[in-house]
Parts: sequence; C-alpha cells; structure tokens
Amino acid sequence: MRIGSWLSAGNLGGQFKDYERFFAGLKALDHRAVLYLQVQSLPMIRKIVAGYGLPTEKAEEIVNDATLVFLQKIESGAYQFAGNSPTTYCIEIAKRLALMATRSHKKRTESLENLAEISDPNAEDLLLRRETAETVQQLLGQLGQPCANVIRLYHIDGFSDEEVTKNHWTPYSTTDSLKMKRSDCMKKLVQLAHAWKTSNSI
Amino acid sequence: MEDIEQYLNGTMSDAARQQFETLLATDDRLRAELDVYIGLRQLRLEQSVARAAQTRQQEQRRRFWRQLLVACVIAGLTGLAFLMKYRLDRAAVPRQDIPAHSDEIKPSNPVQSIDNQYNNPQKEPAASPNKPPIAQTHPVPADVPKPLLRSVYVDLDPVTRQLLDTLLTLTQQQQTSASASTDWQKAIQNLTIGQVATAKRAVIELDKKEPSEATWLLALTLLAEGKIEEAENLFQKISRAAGTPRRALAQWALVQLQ
Repeated sequence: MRIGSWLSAGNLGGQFKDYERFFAGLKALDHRAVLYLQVQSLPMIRKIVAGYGLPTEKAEEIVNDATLVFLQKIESGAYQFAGNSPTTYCIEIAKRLALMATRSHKKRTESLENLAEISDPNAEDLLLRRETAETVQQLLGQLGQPCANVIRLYHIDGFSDEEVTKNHWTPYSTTDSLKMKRSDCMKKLVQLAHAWKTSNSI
Repeated sequence: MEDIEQYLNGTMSDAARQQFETLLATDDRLRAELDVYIGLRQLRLEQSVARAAQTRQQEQRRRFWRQLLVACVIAGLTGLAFLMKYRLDRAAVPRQDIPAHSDEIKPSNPVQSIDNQYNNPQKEPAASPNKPPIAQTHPVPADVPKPLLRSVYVDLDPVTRQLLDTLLTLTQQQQTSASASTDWQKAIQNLTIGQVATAKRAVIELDKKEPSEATWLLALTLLAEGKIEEAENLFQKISRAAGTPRRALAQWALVQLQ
C-alpha cells in the first residue's frame, strides 16, 4: 500500500483505531504504527512547542525524541498497555522534553544563576543511549564490512535470518552459518567495546 | 545473551535482576556486552524513527504541493468563470439594454422636434395640446437602421451608449449643409466604429469651416469618451443657440441625459 494513500484521512483512523493493535504495532516497530504515532501527536506537539515559545522547527526534533523515548519505554517494559491511547503518553513525554528544551533555550540568554538545576530522566537517558549508540556505530565501522553487515541486518534493520539468506544479502547461504558468523562478530564487537571502555577508563 | 535480552526487555524476575546487576558491577566484559546491545537497540529505534519522520515529511511536502495544485486549479477555474461571465455580459448588453431602434425613438421623436423648430422656430416643441400624436404626423420610417454601436463603446454605460447610438443615427438622418464635407463624414464614420481620437481630429478640421456642426459632433465625441458633463455643457450651449440646426436634438439629448 502506498504511504500517501495510507495517510489519507480515511485510513488514518481506521488502521490503528484499536489501541491494543496500535500498541502491538509500536512494540514490533511496525513502520506504519510509528508513522501513525508521529502523525497523530505532531499537531499537539506543535501547539506545545508554540506555547513554550520555542522555534517552530523544534517541534520536529521533539516529536522524534519523544517517539524514541516512548519506543524505548515500550521495548524495556517500562510502558505497559492499559487500554489508554499510546499517543497521549507520547505527547506527555514530548511536553517534558519541550520544557527541557525551553530551559536550555533560556540558558543561552539568561544568567545561569537565575535558573534552578533541571533534570528529566527521559532526556538524560536518551542522551546516554545516544552516546552509546554513537560508540557502537563507530565500533561497527572498525569491525569491518562483512561482520558489520551481518550484525546490522539483524540487530538494526530487524531482518530475520531467513530473509537475509533468501535475499543473499550476505555470503552465508544457510541460517545456521549466518547465526554462527553473527555470534563470532558479536564477540568481536564486545571485545572492541571492552577495549574501548578500558582505554577510555569508563 | 539471553540474560541481557531479558534484562533489557524487563522480563527478568526481581531476584534474577538483582543477581545480574551485581554481576554487572564486577564484570567489565558483561557491562561492555550490555552496552553493545543497548547501542544496537538504540540504533534500531533511531533508524525506525528516522524512517517514519522521513516518510511523514515527504507526505507533508506532497500534501503541500497537492493543496497548492488544487488551489491553482480552483483559482484558474474561478478566473475562467469570471472571464466567461464577463464575455457573456458583454455579448448580452446590446441585446438586453439597447432596444430596437424604432422603439427607442418613438416616445419623444427628436426628428419631429427638429421639424417643429424649423417650421415654428419661436414655439416650444411640445407646446400645442391640439397637435396630433407624433406617431401620426411623423411615423417612424420602416427602414430605420439597426443600432450602430452593437460591439463598440462596451465600456460606456448602456444608457449613454444607447443615447449616443440614437444621436449618431439621427445626426446622419438629419443632414445639414456640413454633411457633405469630408471631415463631417470622417467624423461620423470614426465615431461609428469607435475611433474617437480620429473622429476628434476630423471634428477639429470641420471646426474651421462649420463651427456649429463641429460643436455638435464634439459633443457626441465627448459622449463617446464618457465625458458626460462636458458633453452636457455642449448640448446646453447648442440648445441655447438660436438657429442652430441641432438645437432640438440637443434639447432632446439633455432630457435623455437627465
């Protein structure tokens, strides 16, 4: 189905009208569910951003960050489905992120002494995870192409071993050989990460 | 690896979780492995969100262009509709607003008034109550020409255009000594086809030989230009001048203008 037609008014409500189905889609990182979440929450987030006096383009950044935090919470089990609209929860996260952004925006113009120390667990956690992801990205680069590709296809792109072997995206023709290779590559990646942490005293 | 998955998914029991966290605190290698998994998961989430954001932005752009296209089409169609209406109005004006020539000169026949003036120059045209109806004394000729100005002077208001049309027709019917002159004919001809500037030049030339008739034609020219007040002033001047052949016609024109 074309995304354009899917996004049309008729389909927007129909696809994920059922919250449970919507939540299941988000948990499985279904592209349409993530897209629906963003499309649904963006108008409200724009209002929030405008209400806090932030630049309009900040809404895009905040909607992406809020989606990331929300998906991470679903993945880690911190958010459990209880019959409520997932969009509402995402908007709540966005509100906090917008508030944080307002304060950091003010910091640039106001004296630091005038502002109380601020913290938001969501924002801090997101920052830490981003740093970790950046490091892993760098380490994947160091790992070399065959290994990086095997890991990326499964862990980042989310393809199953069957899909990878069927489409010949790697030189490994069976799922077993692919799994073995990936296991070796993961060990190498962990070694690299360990070495990196030791060298950086983390 | 299963332990890490369970830990990250939040599906570990409390006891196992405590044990795992204790191990994490002492085992650097396990900590590094956990970080790798956290990083990979984060990369997957970021990729998923980035993909959704990209699709959303593409759709927003597509929607913007679609709306712009729809707006342009609507504006174009509206413009076309107005243009068609304008053209239809223009085409309809002569048919609807200008009656047949024979109709328009019936109510107060200026030809008859002119005849009266020539026959009884001291009398007012409609003074005698015993006079028979105009239609009997001066029947409208059967071969009265059709209105001249069907497709010219479209910017003039219908009443002025009708008046101009009638005056031009009557001017041609009621020929004077000046009518034989080339300038007179040129002025009438150009007025009929809407070439007011050329007509005016001919009138200026005519003024040297026939100032009285030139004044009359100048009044018509001003009427054609839509300068009603100036034309009216000239009509008044002509209507006050005794012995002028266009005096009655000027009086009639003044009545029509009022």
